[in-house]
This record gives sequence, structure tokens and C-alpha cells, in this order.
Amino acid sequence: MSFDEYQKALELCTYCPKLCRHTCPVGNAERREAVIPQAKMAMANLVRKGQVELTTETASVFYHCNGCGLCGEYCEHDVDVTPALFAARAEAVNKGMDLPSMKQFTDRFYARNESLLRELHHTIDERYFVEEAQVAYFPSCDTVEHNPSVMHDTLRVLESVGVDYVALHDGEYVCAGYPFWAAGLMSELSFLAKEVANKLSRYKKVISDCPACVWMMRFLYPQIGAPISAEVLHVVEFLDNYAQRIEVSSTVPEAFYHDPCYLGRWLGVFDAPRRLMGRGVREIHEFTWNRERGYCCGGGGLVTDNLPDVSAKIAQRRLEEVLRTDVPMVVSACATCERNLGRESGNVEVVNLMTLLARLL
Amino acid sequence: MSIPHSEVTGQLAEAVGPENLSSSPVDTIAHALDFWPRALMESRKGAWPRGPHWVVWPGAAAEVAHVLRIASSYALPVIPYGGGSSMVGGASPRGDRPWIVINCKRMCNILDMDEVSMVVHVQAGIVGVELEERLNARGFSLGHVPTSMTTSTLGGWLATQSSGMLSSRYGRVGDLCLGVTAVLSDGQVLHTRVAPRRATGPELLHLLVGSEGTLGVITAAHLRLHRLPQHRRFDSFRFDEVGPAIDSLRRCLTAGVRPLVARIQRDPRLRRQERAVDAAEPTPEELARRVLLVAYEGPAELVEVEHEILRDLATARGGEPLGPAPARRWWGQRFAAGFRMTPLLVQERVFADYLEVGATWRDLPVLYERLEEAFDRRGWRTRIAVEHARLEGACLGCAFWGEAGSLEEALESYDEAWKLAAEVCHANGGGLGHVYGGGQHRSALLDDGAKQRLALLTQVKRKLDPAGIMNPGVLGTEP
Repeated sequence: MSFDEYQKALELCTYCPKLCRHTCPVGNAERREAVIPQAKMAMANLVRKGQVELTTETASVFYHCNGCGLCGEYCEHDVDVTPALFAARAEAVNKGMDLPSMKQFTDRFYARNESLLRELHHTIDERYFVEEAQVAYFPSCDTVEHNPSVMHDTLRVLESVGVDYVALHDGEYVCAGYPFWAAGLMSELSFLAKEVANKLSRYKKVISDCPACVWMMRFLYPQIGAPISAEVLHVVEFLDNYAQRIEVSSTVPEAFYHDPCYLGRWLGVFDAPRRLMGRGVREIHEFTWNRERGYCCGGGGLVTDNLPDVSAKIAQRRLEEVLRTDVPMVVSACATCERNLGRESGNVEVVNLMTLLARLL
Repeated sequence: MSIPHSEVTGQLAEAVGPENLSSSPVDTIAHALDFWPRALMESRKGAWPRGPHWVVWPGAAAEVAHVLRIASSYALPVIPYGGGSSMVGGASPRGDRPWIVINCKRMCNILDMDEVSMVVHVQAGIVGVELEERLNARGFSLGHVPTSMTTSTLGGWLATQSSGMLSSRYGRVGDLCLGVTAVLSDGQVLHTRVAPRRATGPELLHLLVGSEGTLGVITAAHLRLHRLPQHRRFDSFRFDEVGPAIDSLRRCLTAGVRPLVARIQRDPRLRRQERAVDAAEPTPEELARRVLLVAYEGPAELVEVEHEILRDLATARGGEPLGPAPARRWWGQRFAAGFRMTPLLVQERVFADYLEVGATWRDLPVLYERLEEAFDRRGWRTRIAVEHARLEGACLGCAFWGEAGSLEEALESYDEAWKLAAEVCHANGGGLGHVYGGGQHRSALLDDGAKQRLALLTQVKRKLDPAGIMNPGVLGTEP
């Protein structure tokens, strides 16, 4: 959608008494009025209406959003801030007013993609790349780059419940394009989405360990003319059908479950990961802010790239509640969450749900 | 006096650190307007207000003191800023002078918690909901829940003498406040002493609470806590008209019952009826109906007794018991009211605001009737609720709105509506500005008695703020 198509949302936010302030991880971390959701949306609206000039300085606030969508959860007007601010970023890109750090973003994206493809083939045995497979596993870029063992763990857990027909997707891309969307690079996203959709449509099912990839392929791709005919599921949604078959040889006493924003709030998947976790964890602790109100790890919206200190503060805030207890573990189902929380968790282990289950088999 | 901007910038950077100072349009625009509906309507005209010249984020009272000394020496006006959700223009710069906004949100920590005395010492920049969640985690509650709780700060509450939706039980924020730390315009840091009670002259605390930043910047406060309730119960009654509902509530309060929530509002069935397709117009009888929504909390036995007292009072006055559902539904949506004005304010030719009038029980029913009639006669829509009930009276919270032919006419109608409301209030014993403070707006509408009070306050302000820098133009005190 173009920037102007968010007119109603932008106007509502401009004239709102900032009631979602408390939900914004970036606003809470920075404690700066200009970066609360209302102010970011108001700035986008004033730029749209020509009441404020679009410059790299005024556009910079659009990048102070981790795209978690928690503000929208609280909004009585159902305003969806993330896509509106990402559209504002696209407007900044179109007018040459995006962040200097965003220059050569596309080149960096493709260079990383090449590197991750090599890593993927280096990590995973070639027998898992099966051309004629019906169900493909599309791992996330952060999994491949930062925690490739999750791929082995996922395959091992699937095999343990008798699902031995899942193949690794052998394509040209290890990313569904979330970074392009968050960077406001819509034409790049459109090109990539069509390529990915074209390749994945040959499968019956596509499963991914990246909640954002799943959401994009399921909901955003059709909006930008790149529908996928395959059913796209997160790994936990797929594995949930076989939850009763998971036989663990040991259990851990207790752990917190962290809802990844895109798996929980965006895809509405709350119970499946808890059911799966329950196979190996005797007591699941809930965060005060959980499920629809789950608080972000700070890893989205390119905040880790553009505002690393803010991203770290968000993770610290999320972990405060855990660190007040003796619970030694946080479990999640998103590589980005695990990486961002893991950097700030001290002695608390942040572990992927698939890794935990594989460890307990 | 010409202002040497770069010199001031250098000194402010020294006071708070360069990373806690900004003159960037990104920050000044974000502090340009609060939630005063008239200013928001004006902003539709074209140019967006430019906001303050400087925004500073001090981290401690000593830094606030440094900033105020700089502001005093250059006679620069200052706004202490919390959540910026003032509905009366209390937190937005005005006129052509270069303003300094002191954003208090870096001062957001709980400094001490005395669980024995149930007293918490907190910095003023903490956002309300964050404070309440931290207290809840330790088994306590402040008992102060304004509709703006998710955005407003403790400092903002204290500066405006905020009333929350639980005020019938816990009082206004000033009733919960045992002491404050405030910085005066000359940089003097004042700590009002925390003690259960004193009899050594008038309390300076009461001068600072509600002073809207005109006398000093509140940087921290000691507050009374309550234990999280063991039990909560809801109840609701429908009355054929507002009078018996008010009478029931009055008798309940004067009998010693302290409900957590007590409000009288339109029958919620009317709203559903209005939304229904092909529904018949409500009859005058249906329009006259009101519901009394109540909640109680505390030990189960006490809650039960309070419930029985009000039930007997209400049913004896014709109140039809509706059970807990309507009150519970209201409780579930208790923050939704804060969102309701926005869809009106985005419309070019619509004017809207929320007026709050305090009155004693004797005057309240007539005031209710006259206010409703006066707005009805002009064709302006209203929703009036009785809320913030206390021993001696209550508040009429009245949302009003209307449509005009143009933005200019909408602004004229807005001003007329307020003038009309002031006339009705003055003639019928009502006091405007019960909840939201004076700001730039309400002060101009006050009656003669209030004007005398403001004249005396002006003399106090001149002593405490000789340079006239402390949020000038609000509360009606002259510089």
C-alpha cells in the first residue's frame, strides 16, 4: 500500500492522546516523546500533508519502530502502526531521505544471502535437499547465520515423530524479504517475493522457523501480487499435529515462554508452542506481558541494525521479569528473538523450542 | 531582550549533557501540542505549531535546578512535561518566545518502598501504568487510575491534582501524596517533610500539588499505597430518571460506603439501539433512563456489607437491579473512553471537548438538568455522567460535540459552548475544572470567587518565580 492509503490511520494517531505510549518498546527504551507510536505516526502524517518538510532528520523517526505491533493491540481504533511506518520509510526512500545507514542495503542483503546459502549447504547434509519433496523447510536467515544447529534439531524432532519426508528448500534465497519491507524497499521486496513465491509454489506445504517469513508469505505476499499456492506454516504449527507423538527421555523443571511477535500477535499462534513446550518442561512460566500482549525482544524493524543500544535495552526490559526469579531458561520459537534476548540474558539460557525438544528426546 | 540561542544551548548542554538536549524539529514538533481539543482543531488550519526551542531531559533534581537557573537568567519560559496529555493546554508552548520544555521522563525510578508504612518514594517522570505494574508485582496498588494512565506521568498527575476513576474510594492524587521534591525557579530544591500529620502551619505540599508547573517542577513524591484487594464485586441498577440515581448514590456515600467505582450514565441499551439498523427512535422515557454502575473492593465481608447497603438504597428508590454485568462491562472498557474524542477531532468541521463540573449534592440534580437542556437547545450533543462521587458531592463529566459549516465556525461554536457551560455552572452552583486542571483554557471561564483566589496566587507566584518563567499563561495567574 502507498503512504497515502494510510491516511485514516495517520490522522487518528495525530489526534490521539498517546494512549498506547506504554506499549512501545522503542519509546520505553528511549523515553523520548518523538519516538512513541503517536508521535511517529503524527510526524508521518504532517509530512504527508506537507505541514512538515520530509528530510533525513524528520524521516529518521520512522526507523524508531521495531515493528512489533503491540501498540495496535491496545488501540481502540485498530490502527496498524507497523505497515504505516514502513510505508513512511518507503516514502523516505523514494524521496532520497532515508537513513544514511540504509544506503547499499540491497547490495548488503544479496551479499548476505549468498553467504548464507553457502552456509546452509555447508551445514545441512545434501540428502535433505530433495527436489521432488512435497513439504519444504525454509529456515530463517538468522537461524542459518547465528544458530544453524536449530535446523538439525528441527529435522531430528520431526523425524522422531515419524515425519521423515521434509526436505530443505534448495532455492536461491534464504529470506522471504522482511528486511526489504522494514527498510521501505518495496520494489526490491516485490521482486524477491515473486521469485520466492514462484519457487515455493511447487510444494504442498512450506514450513519455516521464522515467524516473520511465515506471516509475509501468508499475508503480505498476496497483497503485493506474489501469492504462494503452497500452505505456509510455522514449524510449531506443523509439529503441533504430532505433539502427542513426542517422547522425551528427560524433562526440565521450569522455563519461561517468550511469544515472538510475529508468531503470536501477527499469526495468532499462542497455544501450539506451549503445548509442544509442555512435552519437555514441567512448569511453564508466563511473562506478565504475554500472548497478544507479548513484549518484543527488540529484534525487529531493523532496530538491531540502526539502533543497537535501543535494541539491547528492549531485550533487557523483556528479561527483567525472568532475572528477578531463579528460573534458568527462556524458550522461544524464533531465531531473531533467541539471538536478541540471548545477548542480554546473562546466566539465563535462551533456547529455541526445537533445540530444547531435540535435547530431551 | 534578544536571546543568545547558542549561548543558552551551550549552557543547557552543560546542565543535562548534550545527549539530553535537543532543538531538532523531530523533538520540538513532538512537544508542540498536548491534547487540548481547541489547539488540535486550530492545527488543522495549515501550519503546525513549531513547539519549544529546546527540549531537555534532566536525570535528577539537581539538573532541573541547573536548567531553571539558566532559564531564569535569560527569562526563558519553561514547561515541565510529563505525558503531554493535558486537555487544557497546560503542556504546550504558547506565543512567540523561545520555550524550554523540561521532559521529566528520565526521572522514572522507584527510589524506595517502605512496605511497613506502605509508602513509596518515586520519581515524577514514571508513566502511571508502569508505576502501577511495578507496585502490583509487590502486592500493592496506588489506587489512582485516570483514563490517561497509560500515557500520563506521576508528575503530571500531581501538577494537575488529577482525579482517577477510583477517586470515590481512594481520593484524588493529592490525597495519596505525603510529600514532594520540587525545584523552584531559582534552583532551590524543596523537600516537603513526610510525616503522618503536622500542625505547624499551612502545608507547602498543598501549594505545589495542582500548581501546574507555575510554582516549581515536581521531581519526586512520597505516596500512600494500598494492598491489592482480596475481593472485588460489581453491581448495576437502572432508574427511570437521573434524580433517584443521584439520591441513591448520595445516601450511599453519606452512609459511609466507599465504592471503588460509582458512576451514573446513560442506559447502555440506548447505544445498542442507536446502532441497530431500522431501530425505532428512543422514546423520551427511554432517553431519561440512567444506570448506576458500582464496584467495591476489599475484604469479602466488607464488600458484602457495602453491596447490601447500596442495593437497599437503590431498590428503595426505584432502581431495578441489573446484576454485575453492566458494571463489569464498563470496567473491562474503562480505558476506552480516552479514545472516543479522536474520531471527532479528525473531522474538519466538528468541535468536541469534555467538560467536568464539580457540585455539591444539593445542586447536582438541577445542574445536570440545566446543562443538558442548555446544550440540547443549541442542537449540540452531550453525554453526561455523574462520576468522582465524594462525601459532599460529585462531578458531572460531560462530553459535548457538534458540527458547523466550516472550521472557523466550529471554533466559534466551541468557544460558545464553553461560555454557555460557564454561565450554566455559575448560575447553578457548579465549579468548572473538576478533573483536568486549569491550563490555558479553564482559567478564563472561572467565576468571581475563583478570580480572587487566582489574584492571591499571582502574588505567591511573583515571590516564588520573580522572572515569570514557570509555565506562564496557565492557571490564570498573571506573570
